[in-house]
Amino acid sequence: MKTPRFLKTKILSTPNKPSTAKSASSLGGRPTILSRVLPFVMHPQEQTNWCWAATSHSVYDYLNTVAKWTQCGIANVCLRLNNCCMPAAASTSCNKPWYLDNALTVVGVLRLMTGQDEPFASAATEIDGGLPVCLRVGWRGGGGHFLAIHGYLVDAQGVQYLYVDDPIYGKSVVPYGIFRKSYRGSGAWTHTYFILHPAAQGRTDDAAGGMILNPYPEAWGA
Amino acid sequence: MTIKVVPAAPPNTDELLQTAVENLAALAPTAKTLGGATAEYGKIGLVEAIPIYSVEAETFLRKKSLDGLHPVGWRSLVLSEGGPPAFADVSVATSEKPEFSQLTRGTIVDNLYAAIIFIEDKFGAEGTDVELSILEIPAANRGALWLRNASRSEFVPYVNVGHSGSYMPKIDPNFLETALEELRLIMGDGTDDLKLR
Repeated sequence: MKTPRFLKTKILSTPNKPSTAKSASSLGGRPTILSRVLPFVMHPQEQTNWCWAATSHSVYDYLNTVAKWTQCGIANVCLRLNNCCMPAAASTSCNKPWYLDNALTVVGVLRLMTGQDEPFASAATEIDGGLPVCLRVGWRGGGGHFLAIHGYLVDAQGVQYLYVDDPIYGKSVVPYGIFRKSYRGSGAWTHTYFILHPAAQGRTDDAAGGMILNPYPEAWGA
Repeated sequence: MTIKVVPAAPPNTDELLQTAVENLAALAPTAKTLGGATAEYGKIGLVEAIPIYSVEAETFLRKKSLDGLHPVGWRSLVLSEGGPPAFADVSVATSEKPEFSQLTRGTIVDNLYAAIIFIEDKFGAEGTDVELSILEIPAANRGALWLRNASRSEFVPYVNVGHSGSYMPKIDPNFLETALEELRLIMGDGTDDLKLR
């Protein structure tokens, strides 16, 4: 891979150099750590404001073997439109910020929404149960965005990390303390969406679409 | 060399990033944290960190300019032998001391790398001095390399959301205007019906 010539590059380690990280113990030559990462894959959002459609679509696909939803299909139901799968989907009627709780309800995977961030242990418990955790970040100065936590790691020094997957920015490993208050230098974790285990999923068509009253009218994202 | 990174990262940024990248590469529960690099990785190159400016929606809509911005962090490309690139950030957004804030991989990193190579080819041959930084407008889902000097200010977007097909880096002369319009829709009239909920 070509290295940009105008930027200085520092070579970190020689090949096969063991980590300098201190380990609490070792198992088969590798540090023992506390971690689990789910093979969750976030689909990139297809429109500039469809983080809610991409996140709900991705969670549905992760939990179900049969593909049923598309981002534009979710948008049609949530927004009570029928043209979001057509070329004009980029219009403001379809390509708009919306509510993840509504989209997750439409695809039948929402268990619980809270209006706050959650402790590291709470996210880890969900991951250990095989379920990603969705969340909203509120950007400093206004605006919001949805993404998912799909793993955690505690290193030998006790530093807690979250594995997050973002429909725009992709996969990152982020220290928990930073993630809560300053995701991407600007976002604070404001709302959490717990996912329904596949065994408990059922029809939720009655709750699909429209303007459903909920206690968090501020929890929109793009 | 005519492309300069200004302001330079705080003195201990390299050490912070090096520790984080080496630890996370070694501790990764899958072999994919660094896009395939593992504890048995090949050479990893940490590229000079580029300052990141973040624009707040409310301020940008009111002032319609980028005056008075301060860096919220620095971003370093992480190039591993035989693997795709990653980027690692330090943040100064919530603390005066820089803190490791993320290690990212995937399409967005590929785009950023392609944009850097693009500006090296374009501006490196021009013979004029330009300063390089990264400008992010999170509420509008936009990010770009920002090149400026006393007479010019140009943007090469690398956040490519909503565009199908492969990413091709290019100068966008309307980057700020498009972002402003997007913010107006998101924060203004475009969300009026949301408030009914």
